[in-house]
Amino acid sequence: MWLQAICIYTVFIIIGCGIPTAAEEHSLWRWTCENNRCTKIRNEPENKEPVLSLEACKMFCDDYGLLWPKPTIETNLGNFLSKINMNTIDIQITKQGKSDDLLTAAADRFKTLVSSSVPKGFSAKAAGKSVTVYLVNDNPYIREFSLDMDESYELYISSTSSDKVNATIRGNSFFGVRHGLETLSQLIVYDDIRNNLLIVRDVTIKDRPVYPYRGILLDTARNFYSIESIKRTIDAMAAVKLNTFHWHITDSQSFPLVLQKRPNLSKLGAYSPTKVYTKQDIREVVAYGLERGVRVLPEFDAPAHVGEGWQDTGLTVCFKAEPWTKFCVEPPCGQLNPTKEELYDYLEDIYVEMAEAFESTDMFHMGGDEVSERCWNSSEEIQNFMIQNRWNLDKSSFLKLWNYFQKNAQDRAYKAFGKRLPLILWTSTLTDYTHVEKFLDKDEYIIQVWTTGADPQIQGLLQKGYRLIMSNYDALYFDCGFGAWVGSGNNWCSPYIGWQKVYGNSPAVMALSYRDQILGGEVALWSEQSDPATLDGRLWPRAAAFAERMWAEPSTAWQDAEHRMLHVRERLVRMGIQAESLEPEWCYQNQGLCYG
Amino acid sequence: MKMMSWGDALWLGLTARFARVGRLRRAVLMLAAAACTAAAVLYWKQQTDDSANRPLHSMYSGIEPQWSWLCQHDRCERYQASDTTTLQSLQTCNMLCASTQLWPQPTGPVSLASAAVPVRSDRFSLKVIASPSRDVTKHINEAFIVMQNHMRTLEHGVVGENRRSDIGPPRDVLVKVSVNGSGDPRMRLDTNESYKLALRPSGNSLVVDITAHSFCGARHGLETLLQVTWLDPYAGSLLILEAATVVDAPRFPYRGLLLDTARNFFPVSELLRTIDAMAANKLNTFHWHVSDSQSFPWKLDSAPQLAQHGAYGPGAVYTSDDVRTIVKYARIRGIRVLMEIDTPAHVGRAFGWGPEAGLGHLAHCIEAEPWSSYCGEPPCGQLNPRNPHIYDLLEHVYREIIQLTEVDDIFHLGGDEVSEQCWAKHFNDTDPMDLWMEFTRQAMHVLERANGGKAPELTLLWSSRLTRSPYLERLDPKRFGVQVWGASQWPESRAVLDAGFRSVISHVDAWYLDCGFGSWRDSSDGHCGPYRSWQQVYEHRPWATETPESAAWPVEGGAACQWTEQLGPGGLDARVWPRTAALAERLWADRAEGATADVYLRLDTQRARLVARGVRAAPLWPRWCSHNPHACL
Repeated sequence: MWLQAICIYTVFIIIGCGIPTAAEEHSLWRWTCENNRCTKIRNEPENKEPVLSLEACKMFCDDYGLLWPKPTIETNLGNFLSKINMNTIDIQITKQGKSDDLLTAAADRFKTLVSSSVPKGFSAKAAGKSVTVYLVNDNPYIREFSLDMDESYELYISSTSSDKVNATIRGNSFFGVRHGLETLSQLIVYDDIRNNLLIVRDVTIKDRPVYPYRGILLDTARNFYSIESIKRTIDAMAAVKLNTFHWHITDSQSFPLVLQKRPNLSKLGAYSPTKVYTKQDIREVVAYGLERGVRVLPEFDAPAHVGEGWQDTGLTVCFKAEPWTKFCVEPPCGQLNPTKEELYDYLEDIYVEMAEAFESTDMFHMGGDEVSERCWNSSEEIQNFMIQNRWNLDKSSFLKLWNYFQKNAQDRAYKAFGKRLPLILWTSTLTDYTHVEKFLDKDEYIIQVWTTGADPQIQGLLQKGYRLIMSNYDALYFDCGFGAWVGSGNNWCSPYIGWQKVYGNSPAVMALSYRDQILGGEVALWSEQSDPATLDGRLWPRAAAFAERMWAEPSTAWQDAEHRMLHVRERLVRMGIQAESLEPEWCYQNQGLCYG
Repeated sequence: MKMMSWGDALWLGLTARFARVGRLRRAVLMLAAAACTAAAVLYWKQQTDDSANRPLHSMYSGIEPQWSWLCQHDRCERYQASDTTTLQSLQTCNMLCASTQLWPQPTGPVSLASAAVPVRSDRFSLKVIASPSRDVTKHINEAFIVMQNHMRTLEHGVVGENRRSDIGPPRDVLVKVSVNGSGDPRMRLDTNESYKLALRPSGNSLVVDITAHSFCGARHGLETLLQVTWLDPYAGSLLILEAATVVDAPRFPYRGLLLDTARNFFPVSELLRTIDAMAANKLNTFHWHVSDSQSFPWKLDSAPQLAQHGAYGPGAVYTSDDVRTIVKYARIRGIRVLMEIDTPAHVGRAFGWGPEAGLGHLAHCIEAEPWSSYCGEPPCGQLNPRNPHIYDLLEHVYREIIQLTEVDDIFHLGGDEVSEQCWAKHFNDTDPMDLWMEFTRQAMHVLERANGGKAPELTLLWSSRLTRSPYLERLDPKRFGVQVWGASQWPESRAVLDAGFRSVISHVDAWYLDCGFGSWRDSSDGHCGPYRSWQQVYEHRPWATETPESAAWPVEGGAACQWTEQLGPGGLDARVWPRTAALAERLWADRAEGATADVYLRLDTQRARLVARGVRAAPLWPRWCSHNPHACL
């Protein structure tokens, strides 16, 4: 407690005895840090204590201040807040290399973030100390994503009280330094009592993520999303240090991806000629992501989850088959016909253009979920093929057929990307741990788990040495909890998943001794009932809760994170993200009083 | 596919065809009527010269439409444009095929032409044929401009000047409005909202006759007129049905949406957009739950202390001017603004300034701990029923509500979730229920004074312990009505109706839109989950239960409730829409059928209308299902 006492005293010195005039002091309320929570109290005229705004109070009332996700190695926030002038922020890049343009972009973003920390309807005074930020990138030539890229950074803010504040961020790559800038932006708060921007002084932070893969999946096939809404999502991801935007770009319902070699796929498959993504569009998103440390990972889901777009190819079976419940999980049905040689040429063309468009990706997602035997079995051609191969028409033979497809597709993918890059598949009957090694090499494939966190498949796959990405639907499917769009009642994975459950969803607990094989996790927004109108609210702020779990794998529960979480939601809103509200604003202003 | 030959269509087209509501228009007739007239812009014969058949498609920046939708067996089926002789957009097919596409479905006879003609917003003109008052005339004029502005918004979807030339010139549309009845433009309990609309060709132009008994009825007619007008993206033009007659009146007089602006603050712009969306669905009551224990954002002229102490901050305040803006905006849209200052519970820090002002404690238990002993959710707070100053204060509040909203026939006193423990702690000499009854009596008394000495015709209380036996018997059903929020199966929810209290239904198990998002205080599934789907909202008809008593229930209508513990401005539209549209049809039309296929398709169209109006309504399903009507049903 003595530390807090000092903190309040020193804050008093810096801002209480400072410049503010009497008129500015005329706030009805002020906040004070008592027992690790900020309490809202009347600001009586005879009050002699420092008048703290809510954000200033919160910055000192928690070991992690207002940081999100919380740093993992060392967090030492000083006891001083200095008034700064946001017009005099200078950013120096001290080491040159081929990632300099990215750092320059990150520096620009930093300035934007600083200006958006001023809430709507307020304007900060252009007075205060100037700030110089030194960016030291020890490996300025690295600009490629990889699963073992170094995202660590160290951040120092000077302790002197001269008329200048110096901050230094040091990292082993652009990605780390960029994270440091995000953290630095979170150390700047708005004082809405005096209309000043304040920065924490005397800071040491050392930080790196626990998991290398921290993603969000967006399905742009069930409903279309504008490029602008995708960029907005990436902006929010960067703010909470997520690093992978997994683009589930096609599905049976639509094929919005424009391919030069196979133009009919989007011509027939897009919802309309304007609801498409061209190579140019995708490259724009990829570049936008790279500047924000977010890899844009393409998925081409096959052999199921295809349909629209393939009409004229003769390469699909059971497209729009009825009753759909017999051949797929939602309308329209459709599956590729693996027996067609020409199919693999098609796939190669798709992969080649994806490799060109998704320039910076270091991995490729091949989908592979929800294949229906019945669908394949409905085709005489496929039956004949299987008989010729001396296969039966039983479950295990259809797995062989699927494997035949996957092997061929895999070869084409390697060819298209020009390298044997890591491939990702969804969990399915093919990835069942009892036989997975017969089909998929653990060094080639990463498995993305979408079944529940209690599924024995997780331990089974880990024991066999597979690397996993966790997207267990019971905690990470953000489309759950709404009305069913086919049939009655609520949708299949109801109820809605609250942020508390998202936060508590720990891969470490699921992995036990195999934690090193967990690459990370991903939240998924399937879009049957979502489009740009609902996007922000479905993802945010819940994806921020996920981000802290992935970055820090905290041993603590959501209760300890609640007030930082409420603040990160406010930050997102100020950035222009229409994040859902988690609690009445009263709870944000009256810490600790909205307990269960 | 089997396409009808052009000659067949022409032959069939010689007869004018209409359909009654509830029956589906026959697809062939649609094709026929479309073909029979030069005005039928939607079909044209395949030319031998291909280039002549390649019109500009303004929405597509040079790219041709890929799909054409044709009405086959009462359904719009999607075809590749190159496989058909006609090119028709989904929107136009929907409007001309079997379903009426009106929302809410009219309750009287409807006949709709199955052909459309091009129009332009600036070619609509208004003539008020009959009006009982200057005020009504003024309101009609303003409502007409609102309608025209919505048409203009639709037209903004057309880029540039490349409107297709071969659809013919836009028609002039003369809208003639007659109101024979009330000279009061306000939405009142006794307002007759019925209207008749007749749209017919007259020479080269169109004439629309809207007759009604009130401004609000006439306004509904304009809303229906707007619904038979749509943007055809292939033609790059607005189209309107060539002829239509609609006879329509609502089943229930009270059709509302509650928005809570106290748990989280919503800027005025959000409220206006919500009210406009309500108007699109012919809802008539914006129940504004303006304050609660968490905050008091309304800065009253007569008691500014309430917001000073109760608002979240200076940026989270509604001024009297804001309220006037909202009321005026709603008035033109046929909507009453019912402001609720909930008392005696659901109050907080806003009432904490009594002692320093020398008025004593205006409220008790403000932010008392542990909260679960004194209220249903944090923070606690309850008015002090023994402090006479509280009634003076309430009189000011009530007077200002009535002055600003100009609603004096209906009033909401709040009155839910009073904590007996809170009062018992401060008044150990009296049964808290008696205090509550006495408080309600006194509140009613000052309400009468604030209302010029007259009790409003209907004063609403939330259902509560006070509206249960034995206390219910002590309330006068001639003065009080009850907004029933308890679950439909709770005995007390029925008892209120059986006892003859005029009621507004807001059953938590069907019409609470906040349910299903988990708990905001812990990680449980929350108190009222799961989520209420639009189908569930739509299919709720508690008055249609089998009991003999329910036939005589004095149900005024219903309201969806959007409490906002877990909602901020960003999520508002998608949370409320299109589910509240589903409620609107339930209360307007109260069709016996549930969410049948036709309801899905019409609601999908209505959702698109809302989106075009700038409302971020949630999608019902993948767009694929809109493109392939019936395939997902």
